[in-house]
Amino acid sequence: MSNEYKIGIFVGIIAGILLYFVVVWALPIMSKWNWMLSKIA
Amino acid sequence: MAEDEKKGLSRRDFVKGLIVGGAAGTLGSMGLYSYSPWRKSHFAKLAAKNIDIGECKSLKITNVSETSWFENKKLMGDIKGSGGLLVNQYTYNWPPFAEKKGELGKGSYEKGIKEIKQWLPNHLDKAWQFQVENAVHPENAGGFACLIDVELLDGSRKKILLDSGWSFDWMDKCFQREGIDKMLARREIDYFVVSHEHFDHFWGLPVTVKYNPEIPMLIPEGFYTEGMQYIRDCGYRGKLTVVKPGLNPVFPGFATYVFAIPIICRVYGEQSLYFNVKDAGMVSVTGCCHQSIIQFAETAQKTIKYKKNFGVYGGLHISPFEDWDPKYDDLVFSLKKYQFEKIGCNHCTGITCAKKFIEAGYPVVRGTARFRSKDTAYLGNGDTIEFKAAG
Repeated sequence: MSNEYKIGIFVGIIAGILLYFVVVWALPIMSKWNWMLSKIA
Repeated sequence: MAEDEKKGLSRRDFVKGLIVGGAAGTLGSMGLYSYSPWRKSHFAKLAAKNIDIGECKSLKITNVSETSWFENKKLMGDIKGSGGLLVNQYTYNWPPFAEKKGELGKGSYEKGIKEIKQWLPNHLDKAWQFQVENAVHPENAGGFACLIDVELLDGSRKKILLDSGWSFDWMDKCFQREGIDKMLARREIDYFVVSHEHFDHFWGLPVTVKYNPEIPMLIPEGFYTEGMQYIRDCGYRGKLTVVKPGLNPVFPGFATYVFAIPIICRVYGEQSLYFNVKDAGMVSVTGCCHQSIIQFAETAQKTIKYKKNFGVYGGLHISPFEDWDPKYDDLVFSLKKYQFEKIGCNHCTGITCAKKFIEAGYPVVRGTARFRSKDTAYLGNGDTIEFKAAG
């Protein structure tokens, strides 16, 4: 296993965790913002 | 690329690692998150309504009859022979709606009531004799009924009759055995609550009407035209209340709750009872509990203001035909959550289930197995149970 492969896995795990929490946390919050903006508009 | 390769670096290896790592990271996060308490932050919040129904001091329940039928095999054979569990119960040619030489599954309310209407409600012996000669398995009919005697905080009492059983002959004898006939005749029973339209809870209606045709009666919304017509054909002339789905407070400490649910044998809606006993907690009383004991207990928690669960009484509809399935074990296990301090079960709970409750260490009140009740594992005919605060 090359060093590049190991680095790729490490970076990938971090990116995967961040991606999942963006989907779980950020998107619902963003959808609420949109709802609030639509009410104001 | 050529330069990287010269330096001994491989972009291809990095991308491969990125894909594997990305997949592992995403799936791992999903797994961890699904087991974490954070996942509940996305559930819709159900606010408890906390309706105050008041309090009563105590209640005593007398089991008039819990033996709805005497042989499971005959009952299930008749239901199967009529076409199954979704077939209209009035077509079975069961008593009291048998036509002349009634054949299984070929009857109707109209044909059946025509034969007995002239004897309702005062000559029930004649009406029943016709059933003995013409109905399918008249000897298998029993019925469910119980008397609830409530003591209010001011010391006064209210009596409630829950259901009127099935067989005119059996129920009349049970009423006489427990003195219900005299209480009805003396107008001592304040309310007659019908849990649902099933044959074993409702078809014995003329026995109650015979002794008090004017008793205030509460039925759940969802009765079919045959059931509504039967109330008129029995000679009932009191105040009939059709209770809408949801909570229906009746007097301090007592409310009924109608669950809008479809039930086997073409019945719709079940009415159950909640009593808030001072310093003791909530006592939930049910005829057959087709809504399930879990929904029954959850509904109390979400709807009514009270401190804790105290007791439960009635048919809990877990193994009415004494069959058992591993999923029922989960039900027995999950009942622990509600921390009932007194369980008075019978009827469609099933003897098998009552024994499982006892094995699980639940506080089941035992019976005496008299008057054709089959086992002491639960409260049988003629047995009583009291719910009140200790001391």
